[in-house]
Amino acid sequence: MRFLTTVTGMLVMLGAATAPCAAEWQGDPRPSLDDTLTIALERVSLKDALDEVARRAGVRIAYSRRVVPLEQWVSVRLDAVSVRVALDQLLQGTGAVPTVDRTGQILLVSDAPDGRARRQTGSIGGTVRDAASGTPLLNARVALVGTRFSVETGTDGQYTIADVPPATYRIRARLVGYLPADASVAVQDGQQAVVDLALQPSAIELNPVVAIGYATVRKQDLTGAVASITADEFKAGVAPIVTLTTGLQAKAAGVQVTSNSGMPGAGLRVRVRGTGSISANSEPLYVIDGIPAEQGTASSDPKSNPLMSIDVDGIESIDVLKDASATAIYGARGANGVVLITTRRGQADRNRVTVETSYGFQRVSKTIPVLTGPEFMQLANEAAANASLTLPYTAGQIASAPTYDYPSMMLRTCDTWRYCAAAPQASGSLSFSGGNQGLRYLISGNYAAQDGIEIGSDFRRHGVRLNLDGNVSDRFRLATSLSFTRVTRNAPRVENGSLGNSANGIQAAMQFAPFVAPRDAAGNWIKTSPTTEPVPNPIANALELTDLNTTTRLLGSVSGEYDITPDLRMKSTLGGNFQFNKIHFFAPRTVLDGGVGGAGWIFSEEIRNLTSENTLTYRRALGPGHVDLLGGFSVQTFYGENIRGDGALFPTDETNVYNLGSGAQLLAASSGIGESAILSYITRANYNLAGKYLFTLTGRYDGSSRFGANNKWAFFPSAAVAWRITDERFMRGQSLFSDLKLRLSYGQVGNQAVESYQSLTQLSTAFYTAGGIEIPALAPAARMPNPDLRWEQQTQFNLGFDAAFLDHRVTVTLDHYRSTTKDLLLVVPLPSTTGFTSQLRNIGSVRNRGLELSVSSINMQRPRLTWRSSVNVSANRNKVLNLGIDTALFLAPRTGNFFAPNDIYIVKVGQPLGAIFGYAVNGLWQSGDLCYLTNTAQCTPGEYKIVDQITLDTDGDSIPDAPDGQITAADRVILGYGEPKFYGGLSNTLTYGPFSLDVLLSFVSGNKVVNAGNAYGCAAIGQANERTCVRDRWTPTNTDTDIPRANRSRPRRLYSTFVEDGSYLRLQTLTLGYQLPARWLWGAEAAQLYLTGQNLWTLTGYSGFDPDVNSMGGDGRFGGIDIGAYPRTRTWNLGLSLTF
Amino acid sequence: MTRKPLVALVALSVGLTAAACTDLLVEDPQGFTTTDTFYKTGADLNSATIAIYNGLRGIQGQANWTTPELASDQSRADNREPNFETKRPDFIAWDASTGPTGGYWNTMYSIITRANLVLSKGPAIETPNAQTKAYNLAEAKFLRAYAYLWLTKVYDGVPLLLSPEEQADPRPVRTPVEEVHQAIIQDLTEAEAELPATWPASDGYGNPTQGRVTKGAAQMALADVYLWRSTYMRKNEWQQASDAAKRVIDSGLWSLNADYLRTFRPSNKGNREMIFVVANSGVNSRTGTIFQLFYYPRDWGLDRGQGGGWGLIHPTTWFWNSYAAGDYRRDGGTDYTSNAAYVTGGCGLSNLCATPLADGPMPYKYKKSDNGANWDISDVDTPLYRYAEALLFYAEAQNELGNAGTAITYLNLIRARSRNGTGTENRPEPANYAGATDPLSVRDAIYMERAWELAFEAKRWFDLVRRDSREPGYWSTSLQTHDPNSTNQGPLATYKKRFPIPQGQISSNPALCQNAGYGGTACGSGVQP
Repeated sequence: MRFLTTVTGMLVMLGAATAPCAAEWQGDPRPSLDDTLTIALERVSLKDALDEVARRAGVRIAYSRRVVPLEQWVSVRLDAVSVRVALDQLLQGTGAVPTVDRTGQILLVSDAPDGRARRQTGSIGGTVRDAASGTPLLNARVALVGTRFSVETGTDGQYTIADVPPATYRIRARLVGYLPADASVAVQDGQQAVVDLALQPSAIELNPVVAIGYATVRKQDLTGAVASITADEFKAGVAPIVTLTTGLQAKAAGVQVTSNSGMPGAGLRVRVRGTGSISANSEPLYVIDGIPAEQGTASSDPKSNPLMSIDVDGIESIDVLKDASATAIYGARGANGVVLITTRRGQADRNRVTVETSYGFQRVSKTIPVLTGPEFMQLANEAAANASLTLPYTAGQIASAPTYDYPSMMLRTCDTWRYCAAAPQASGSLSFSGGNQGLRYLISGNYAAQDGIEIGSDFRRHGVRLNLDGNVSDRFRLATSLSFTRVTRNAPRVENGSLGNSANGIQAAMQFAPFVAPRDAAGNWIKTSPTTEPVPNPIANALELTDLNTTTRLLGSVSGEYDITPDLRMKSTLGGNFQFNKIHFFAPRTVLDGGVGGAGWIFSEEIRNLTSENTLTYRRALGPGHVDLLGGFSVQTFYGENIRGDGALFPTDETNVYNLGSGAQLLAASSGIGESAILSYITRANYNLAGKYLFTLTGRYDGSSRFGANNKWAFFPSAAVAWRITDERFMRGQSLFSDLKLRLSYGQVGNQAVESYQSLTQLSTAFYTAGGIEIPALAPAARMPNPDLRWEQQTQFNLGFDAAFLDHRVTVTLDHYRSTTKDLLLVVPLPSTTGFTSQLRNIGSVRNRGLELSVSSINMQRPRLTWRSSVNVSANRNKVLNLGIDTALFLAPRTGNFFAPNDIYIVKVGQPLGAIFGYAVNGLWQSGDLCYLTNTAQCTPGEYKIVDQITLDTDGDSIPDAPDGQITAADRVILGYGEPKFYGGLSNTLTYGPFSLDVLLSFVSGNKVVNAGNAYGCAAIGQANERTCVRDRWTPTNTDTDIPRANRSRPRRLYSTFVEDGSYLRLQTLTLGYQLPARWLWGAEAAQLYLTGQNLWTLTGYSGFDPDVNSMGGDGRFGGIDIGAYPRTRTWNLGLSLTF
Repeated sequence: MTRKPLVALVALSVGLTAAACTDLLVEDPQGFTTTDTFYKTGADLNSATIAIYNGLRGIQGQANWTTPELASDQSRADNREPNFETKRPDFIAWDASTGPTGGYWNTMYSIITRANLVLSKGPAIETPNAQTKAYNLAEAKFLRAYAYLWLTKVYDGVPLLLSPEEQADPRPVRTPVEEVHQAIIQDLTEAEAELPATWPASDGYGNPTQGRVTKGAAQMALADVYLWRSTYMRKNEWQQASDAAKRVIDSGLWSLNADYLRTFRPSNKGNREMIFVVANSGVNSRTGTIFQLFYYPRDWGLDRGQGGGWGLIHPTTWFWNSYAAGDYRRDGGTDYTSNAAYVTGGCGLSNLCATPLADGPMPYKYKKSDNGANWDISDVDTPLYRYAEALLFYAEAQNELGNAGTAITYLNLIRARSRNGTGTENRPEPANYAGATDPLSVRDAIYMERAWELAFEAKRWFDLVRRDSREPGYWSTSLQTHDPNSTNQGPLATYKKRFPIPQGQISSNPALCQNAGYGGTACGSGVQP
C-alpha cells in the first residue's frame, strides 16, 4: 500500500513537472477538477452529493436536470481523491460527464452526442510521434479523458476527433510499448484545436507484440499465459550471459531456473510451472526463430547443457508459453512450456554497426576451510580409537605433519593482489545491420570466453549469425536465419563426481590428505590420497587430464511467405539444427586414470533435426469482430549417430588421444544410432470481438515415432477466452484501471520426451568367453518392453488477469493455474523375478498448482531521471497423485554407496517430487540419556541420536504402533522437499542523465538442499579430510554440539543434519552504465560504458558453497542436492557498447 | 511471375506431405535387435544359451564374491580399507537395505530368466543341429538349477519360476525351500543325463567350447545340493550326495593337477580339475573382472595400473596359523613373480615394495598373466567346482554314512597332492590323516581340509552355516574365536546366518516375506526350514 502511495505521490510530482506545457492557458485558474477532497456520503440524493462536493472543494458545479438525474440515490466513500474522480464516481452510469469551462466552473454535460443543431462543436487533430525518433506512430489511441471520444491514429500518425463540445479537455495518447502522454486542450465552437503528442518508449512494454508460436499477437490481444522477456531484461543491462538459460533466472514468473553448479557452461534446470513428469524430460522446448531447436536435458549430469551452444548474442526477445492455451500449438511437446526465442533482424534504412565488448574477472564467492594436516591426523586417530581400530598415525607423525591447502590449490586464486583477475572472462560482438525495403540484413560475429574458477576448466563460444529478409514482390517475402556456433569446454574431472574415492574437483580437494604434497620428492604426482579414502589427486587431474568437449551447431531456416490474397497468406519454413559433439579424453600415465601407459578415448556424435513447417493464415472480419485462422502441418525428423574409440598403453603421452592406433591395449570401439520423427497438423482460431472479447481455439494433432504401434497419434486441444473489462461501458468512468483483462484457458498438451525405441523388445549384447575368445551373445535387455507406450498428457486450467493502473504506470499480471499430468512415462522398478529390472509405463499422475504474480511500475519518469521496478513471485505446489504401483519409488542420486542405504530420495503418492528420505536425528546421545535402542552400543555418547520410528505392529492390527528398538532402513522418513515455497526476482532500473543502474535480486524460499558433501565433510568419520566444522565435534568435554564424536565406523547414512535450508536472497546482477557524451564519440551514434557485478551478495543459511545448486541436473525426481558441486564465483565485468 | 513462388511452395508442401505419409512413424532400429527377429534358429538358441553364461559373471562381482569371503572366519578385510560399506560383510554388519548381501537376487534371477527363455523357445526351434540344441536345453537346465541353488544357500526359499509365463507374475511369493530344492534336483538330474561328458572342440556354430558345462558339472551340483540338504536341512541324503560325487570321480574325465597352483593359472585354462568356472578372457573388460583386485596387495599400488589391487581379503590370523607347517598351499612368495599360494611381501609390478606386506600376507593363487598391470581385466577363471571338491564331497558323504575309512582315503588324496608341491616335490606336510576315526573327528578334518584346499573360493561361509544346523553354535563359535572382526559391530546374532531378502525387491514386490530377524513380513512355514 505504501508503495502505491509513493507511486501516486510521484505522479503528482510528475504532473507538476509537466504543468508548464500548458503555458498557453496560463491565465486560467487552476483546473478545479484536480483539487482533492475527502467525502463520505451514505444514501443521499445526487443533488445533495454534488452540492457537498462543490462545498468541500470550493468549486462551482453547474448542471442541468435534463442531463443529471438529481434524485438518484448515491453512496460514496472517497479518501483524498480528485474532484474528477469523485464526480466520475457519482455520475457513473448517468451519462453525464464533468468538463471545465473557461471560467473554471465545472459543467456537467451529457456524454452522448445528440447532434442537435443547437449544440455547437469543434474538433481536435494532430500527430502522435515517437518522442525519441520522431517517427509517426500508427494505431495509437487518442482519447479525451473521461469522455467517449476516442480514435486511433492512421499510418501517418495523424488523428482527428470531431464533434467535440466546446470545453477544456485532457487529451491522452496511448500505444502499447509507450508511456501515455497527456495534454490539455480547449475546444471552441467550429474550430479545430491542434495537439501533437510525443510518446516516450516504455521499458515495461517495449515489445508490443508477443510471439505465440507460428504467429505473433499484440500483447493486449493475448488470451494465454505468456511471459515475455526483452533483450534488455534478459541481459539485465549488459551483463555477459554465457548460457541462454542463465539469462532466464529470476526474470519471469512461473519460470524457475536452478543452477546445476558454478562451472562455466554448466547446465541449469528450467521448470515452467513445476515438474510435470517424473521420468520423461521436464525441460521446456526451445523454439528459435520458429524452429523447434532443442529441449533442455533431463540428464543427471550437471555438466550436460545442450543450450550452451545457442548463441545468446542476437536475441531480440524471449517469450515463454506457460498455459495450455499457449502451448497447445506445440501439442505433444508443450507440456513443459515452450520458450520462443526471436533473434534480431535488420531494419530498412537504419544501417548500423554495433560493437560490444566486455572484460571481467571472477573470484570464488565463498570458500570452505578444511582441517590442517595435524588436525586431520588427530581426527583420524580419534575416529580409529573410538571404533577400536589401530591408530593410523603416531604422535611423532602428527607433530611433524605439514599442511597443504588442496582446496586453494584447486581454485584459481591470486595471493598477491586482492582484486586481481583470478579467472578472467571476456565477451564481444560485432554486428552490421540495415538494408532497404527490398533486402534487410543482420550480420554478426561474437564470442564469449570464461575461465573456470577451478583450475583446468574453461569455456569458449564463437558464433556468427546471418539474418536476411527480402521482399521479392509485394506479395512474396523471403527470410533466412542462420547461426553457427562452436563451443569448446575443458572440464577435467572438475564436476559430476560423487563422493569418497569417486569425488571430483573441489570435493576431492576437500577430502585429500592434507599432510601430503601433491607431488612426491621426485616431482611425480601423488596419484591418490594416501592412507585415507583413495580419492584421485584432483590437482593432477585438473592439470594433466584432457577432457575437451566441443560442440559445433548450425541452426538455421529459410522461409517464404506468399500473400495469396490480402487476407490469405501461406508460409513455408525449412529449417535444421545440425550439431556435432565431440569429447577428447586422455589420461596420461602421470595420473591415476592413465594407468601404466595412458588411456584415452574420442567420442564423436552427429545430430541433425530437420523441420518443415507449412502454414496458411487467413484473417477477415466476421460479424462484429475479426477472425484469424491458422492451419498447417509440420514434419520434424531427428537423427543421431555416434562412435567412440578407446585406446590404452600408448608408447608415449605426447600424442595424447590423437594416435589411438599406437595403443597396445585392444579396446572395442562402440557406436550407436537413433532416429525419430514427429508429424503434426496444426490449427488455431482467434476471434476478436471489438478488442473486448477474445477467443482462441487451438489444436495440434501429433504423431510420434517413439510410441507404441497403437498409440502413435494424439490430439491436443485447448480453448481460451479473454475479456477486456476496461473497454466495457461501465468501466469508462473509472480511472483506477487503465487496462484490465481477464483470461481463462483450459486445454491438453503432451510430453513425448523419451528416448526412441522404448516400446520395442530390445536385445542387448552379452559377452562370454571360451578359449580366450570373446563370444557376443544376445539376451533380453533389463528394461521390459512396452508396446502400449504413449504420451504423457497434461490438462491445464489457467485463470489470470492483466491489469494496468495509473495510466499504465503500474502493470500487474496475476495467474493461477492447475495442471495434472496423467499417463506419466515412468520407469517402474520390477521385481527381478520378472526377468527385468524396470519398465517404462504410462502410469501415475502428478499435479502442479500455482500462483504467479508480476508487477512492473514506473516509479519515476522525468526528463533526466527515471526509475522502473519489476517484481515477480511464483509459488508452485507439486504433488504426486498416483504412481500406478502400490509402492513408492526409492531413488539413489550419484552419491552411490556413499550413503547407506543409497536411495535418499523417494517418490511417493501424496508427496511432491524431490522428497528427501533419510534418518531424522534428534541431536547427539549424551551420557545419562535413556537408551531406547536394543544395541546399547549405538547409544554411545557423541553418536547421532537417530529417531527410532514406529515400525512395529505389536497388537496385530497391521498398523505399526511401537518402535522396534533398532535403527534399520524402516526408520527413514521424509526430511524435506527440494521444491521452494516461493521464488522470484526483483529488478530495478534507475537512469539519471547519462548514468544508469540496473539491480536484479533473486530469491528462493522454503526449499531444502542435501549437502551431500557433508557426508564426507562434516560427519567426523575421519576417513578423508573434513571441513573445519568437525573442530566442534563432540568430545566428553565438548558436549553442546551437533557434530558427532569422531568414529571411523559410523555408517554414512543420510542424517537430517545434512539436509539444510536452501532459501536465499541474492544480489544477482548490478550494472552501472554511463552514456558517453556525444562530443567524445567521433561520429558514433551512441556509446555506453558499463560496470557489471554478478552474484555480489547472498543471504543464506546454507553451509555449502551455494544454495542454488542441483548436482542431479535435469532429472526431475531429485531436488537440489549438492554433491561437491563446482563453487560459484563473484564476477565483475567492464564493458563498452558502441553504435555507429 | 508472381505465381511462381506459390507454385514452388505448394509443390514443396505437397512433396513433404507425401514423404510424411510414408512410414516415418514406424521405428526401425538399426543399432540393436528385437525379440521379434530373434529366437528363430539353432544359432539364435545357442547364442541365447551363451547369454546365460554371461549372467554367471555376476557371481564374481564385488558384493557377491566378497560377502561370503569376508563374512567367513577364514578371511578378513584389510585394516586400511577405508570404506565401511566394503567392510560390512567382515563385520557381519548388514541389513536388508545395505548392498553386500542383496546382489545374488538380481544375478541369479537374470540367469534364471535367460535359462527359462531358452527352455521355452528352444523346443519349437527347428534346426539341423539337433545335438547342440539338446545340449543347449540341458545347459539351460543346469544353469537355472545352479542359480536356484545359490539363492537357497543364501536366502532359503525363493519364488520358484520355471517359465517366462510364470515370471510374468509381478507378485510371486516365496516358494518353500523344499519345493525349490526338488526343482533343482529335477533340473540337475535331467541336465546330467543330457549334457555331454565332454564337449567337442566347437559348439556347432564356430565357438570354442572351453568352459561350457558338462555332465560333471551337473553331478557336482547334485552332490552339492544333497550335502547342503543333509547338513543344513538335516535330511538324510548322504547316499545321493555320495553317489553324485562318485560319478564324477568314476567318470575318469577329471583329475587333480599335479601342482595345486597350476589349477588356477590362465596358462592352464580348461585343465581337468576345473569342472565348472566363470571364464574370464583377459582381453577386454567385457569378459574380464575386477576379481583380482580383492586379492592383489594394496602395498603394490592401490592405483589403477600399478600392479597392486584393493588388497581387500586377507586370511585371518587363525586361518593363517592353521595350516600344517610347510603346506604348499600356504607357501608365501616374496614378490609379484612368485608362484605361491600367498605373498608375504616384496615388490609389485611397478616396483612398489613392502616387506613384509603391511597388513599381513595376501592370497596369491589367482595370479594374472599380466601380473596386475590392468585394473579391470583378468584372465583368471573363477573356480566354482573343482575335482578336489568332488573328492571332499565324497569323503564327507562317506564319513556321514559311517565309512570313515573311505572318507580318510579320499581326504588323503588331497593332502598327497599338496605334498607334491609343484608336482615333483615330496614334502612331509600335510601328512596323511592320522587322527581319531569317529565321525566327528573325521568331519572336523574334512571341514578343515575344505578350508585349506578351497580357500578363497567362497565356500567356507556356507560350510559354517550348514554345519551350524547339526551342531548349533558352530557358526557363531567359529566366527567369534577365529575372526575378531565379526564382533566389531556388536555381538553376533544367529539370524545373520541367512542373508536378508534385498529391501529393493520387497519394495517392488511386497508379496515377498522377509527372513527372520530382519523385520518386515514374516514368512509362512516352509520358506525357511
